Amino acid sequence: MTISDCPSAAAQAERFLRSDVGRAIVHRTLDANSLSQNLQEDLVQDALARVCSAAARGEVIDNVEAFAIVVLRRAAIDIVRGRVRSPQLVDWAEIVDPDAEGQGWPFDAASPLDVEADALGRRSLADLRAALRPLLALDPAAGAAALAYLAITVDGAAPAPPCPQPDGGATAGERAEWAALHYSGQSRCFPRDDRPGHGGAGSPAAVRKRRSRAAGRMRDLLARAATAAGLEPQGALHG
Amino acid sequence: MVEPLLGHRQLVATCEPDARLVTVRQRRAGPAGSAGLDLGAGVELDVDVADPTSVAGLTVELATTGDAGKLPAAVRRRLDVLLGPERAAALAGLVRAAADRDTVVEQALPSTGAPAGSEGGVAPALQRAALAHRAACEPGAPRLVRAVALLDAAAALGEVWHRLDLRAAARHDAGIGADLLLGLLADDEVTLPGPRAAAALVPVLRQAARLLDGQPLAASRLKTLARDIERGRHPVAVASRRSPVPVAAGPRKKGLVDLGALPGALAEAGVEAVTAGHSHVEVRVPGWSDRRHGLWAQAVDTVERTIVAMAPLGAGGAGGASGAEGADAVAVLLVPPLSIPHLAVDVTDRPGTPRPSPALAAVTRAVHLGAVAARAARLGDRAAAERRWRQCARAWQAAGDGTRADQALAHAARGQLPGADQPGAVTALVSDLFTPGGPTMA
Repeated sequence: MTISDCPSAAAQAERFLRSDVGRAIVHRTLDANSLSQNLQEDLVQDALARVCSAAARGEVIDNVEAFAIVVLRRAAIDIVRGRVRSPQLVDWAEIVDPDAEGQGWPFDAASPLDVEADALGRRSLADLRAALRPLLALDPAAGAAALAYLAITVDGAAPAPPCPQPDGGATAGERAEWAALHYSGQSRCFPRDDRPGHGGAGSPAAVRKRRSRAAGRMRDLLARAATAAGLEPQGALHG
Repeated sequence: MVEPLLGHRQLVATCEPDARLVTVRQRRAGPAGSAGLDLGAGVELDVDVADPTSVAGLTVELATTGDAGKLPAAVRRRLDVLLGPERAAALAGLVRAAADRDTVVEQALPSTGAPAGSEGGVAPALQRAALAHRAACEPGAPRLVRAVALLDAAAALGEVWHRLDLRAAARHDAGIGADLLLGLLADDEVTLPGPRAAAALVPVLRQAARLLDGQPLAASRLKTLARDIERGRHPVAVASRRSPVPVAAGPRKKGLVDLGALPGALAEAGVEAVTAGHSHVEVRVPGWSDRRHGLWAQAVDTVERTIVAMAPLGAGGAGGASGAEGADAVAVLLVPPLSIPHLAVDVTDRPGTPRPSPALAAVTRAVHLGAVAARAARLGDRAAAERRWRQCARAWQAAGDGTRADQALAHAARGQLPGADQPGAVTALVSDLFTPGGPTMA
């Protein structure tokens, strides 16, 4: 199962969890943990997000209904734990060294998709952002950049100083990418970082390479979200 | 006879073949919630944070395919160690019966031959590891607290790894804890909060160093640090803190912030969000620069009901030097201009997950307050514990859970944790001594 299957996996899980049998299981799960039945919708939404994230990570889900019950239970225990994650689920790389490059999205190829051109209608844009949401858990920095990129290229948000800008001759897309990476906190993608404790970003070539990879991760994330949202890749919706 | 790690108290087992799930518990988690510990092979232990000698849940997740009535060998080995062979066998029989009847089965697992004078609850090492994991992973925990908590958890797991095959988990915790601590040392960011904390840290550093046999440099540096602390060569704060556990500032709504969506500690942090220009929102958490790691500000368009912007909290100015304790954590969100009139902003440690409803946020806040109260009680600060338990009770009442509210009030009246007088009950964690506003410096 891949991210393109995410909507179908989530839809199947949702149909099950909202069926009579599913509702009874939701009720039982909350009851088993002495939690209020007011939390039914939170629990279902959390479980669906976990199904989607698992699909996006490429986890094999043989039986969506059984998996939905498993993640439902995990979501309930998570509440009893005060929504404090286990060490296995914490992104320690981000905490140990906030300036390190994340592991990132596992696909590094550039996307041919011209997402901003495809996202013509408000509904499509909303669908695209909704499809991005489960992907944020996989690569938060790339996801944050993707959201900023959409805000600039589709909604007309205007970056402001101290947002770095490429030298003259850069395309609008490149300028938007720079801004998107800046607003997603990826300061080491730029030539200078004078903030205390950040120690500079390295040689110009290293910075360029880092920026290129980060932009690639952002584009891949957007492309995958567009596919999941049912937007046609390869710019087929243009015109 | 080797003692089972979960002691001899009466437990109740529930087998759910449709969910492929087996749960064993003494009782459900109380007002401070539970702390979890992954024991491998799909087995997880939850201890009650307010009474960690109690099993709030021992859960076995069976594979979603295959025989639902058979416990895999790796699971069975763990259950033998945790419950004792007799009760593990009874549980295996129950799992078989539930699968054959294809129905939920619940049955008591009676207490077994306890040593005289003690029912022996959860083994202290497991209590400590679970509580330390919780401290390490709490959203907004300072990196020093996370580091010390992970090293403490590693040391605790090191005491039982031979029985539960937890070598990899202990090394994982030791490795990350060492990376964090040594990184902070390299940045000159470590002043130990007082002599009591310094003294408690030394044995943990040595135990963790022993686990790092594959990382000799890190192990050596942990041992050197331990020696430096013992010889008074490492800076230790001398100023006594007046208030061991600070009084909650109380939730404050600022600008665009969706208070109901803020997780536990952040609800008390006075998160602020204001628009700046026609497409920016500045999110500020006063005094949280040291606690910002892993936290993200996000903005949701409440009309479209979609997330429109997200950014990590960075070190801001004000309140102190950038990045220093006391400085603010700040994020700048670039948002669609048309969304600004209907934006809701919050801060999360779990990007991509649905925003909690007010009901869920209320429960999370109540659990957090309970955990803070339990920490104060572990530190022996009765006044702070009582105050926090009363806050916790009010929070549970607001969340509509009168039972846990009553339990919190009972803890407030008792003045100590329910299991505190039990043999083997865990006292203060080392990380408790490092938590901001934590211990007195005596």
